[in-house]
Amino acid sequence: MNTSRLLRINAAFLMLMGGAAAAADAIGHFFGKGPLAPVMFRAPLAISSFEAHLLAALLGTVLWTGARQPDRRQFHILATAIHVVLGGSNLLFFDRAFGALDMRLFGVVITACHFAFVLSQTVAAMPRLGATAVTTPLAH
Amino acid sequence: MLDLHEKSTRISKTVLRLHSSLLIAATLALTTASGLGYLSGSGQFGMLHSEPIGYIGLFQAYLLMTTMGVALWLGSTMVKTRPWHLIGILGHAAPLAANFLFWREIERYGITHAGIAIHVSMIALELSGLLLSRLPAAPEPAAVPSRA
Repeated sequence: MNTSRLLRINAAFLMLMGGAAAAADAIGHFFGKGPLAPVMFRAPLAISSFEAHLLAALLGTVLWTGARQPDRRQFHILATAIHVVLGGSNLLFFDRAFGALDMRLFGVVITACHFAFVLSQTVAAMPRLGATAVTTPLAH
Repeated sequence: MLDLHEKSTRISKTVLRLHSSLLIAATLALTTASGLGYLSGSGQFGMLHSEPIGYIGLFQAYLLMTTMGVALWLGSTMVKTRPWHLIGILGHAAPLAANFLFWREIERYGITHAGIAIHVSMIALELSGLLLSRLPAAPEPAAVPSRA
């Protein structure tokens, strides 16, 4: 796969999931509706989760910008760092975050996605693979 | 002697590095302080002990801002700095918007005005970098036609 496409898929994942989670945080906090309502409804520190999800979406736009650059190695490293933070904190606080919402299966899937991105972005960042232009004939 | 474009590019890169350094230092300090507050229940972040969901969000938000700081530093090494100033502005626009949206909730902690002051000053810093990065390069001197 073209490494630019990998960055775009990663960016779309962050923008979609981050944006949706930020919206779910706000709806759960203010209206008591949606999947996050059980822990977010009128929670005094719901702002922190909202901010984190919004930042994840924003970093998605950074990766999208990076996918258009000729030298993408630094963006693959950045993507790896983002997913280490997100996946790592999911693992660290798994039961408190997903257990409290009874969303363990979702937690497992989303954490696996983060680590799959860590792996693929690390491989794409390796100089041997040439992060600038790893293309296959099928990619065109 | 440096022309206006080179000077403005240099200042633009300095703005990105200054912002990046401040972000990395502040967020790492805040991650440590909030972690201690969560574990011990005392200090500035002591309230996190009884708000684990709030702490998880803060943990992620601070470390993502650290990552954003690293991204801005990377941006300062690139030829075109303009998109990175925009990213720097958006990075603070997100928590600033959250500040206003959750005003009532965070008012009890007395951090509304401090938060706004920090984010607005960083947005102003990046706006100055953004304006400087838009200065056009000096035109190439016109080639003298050769008689040869």
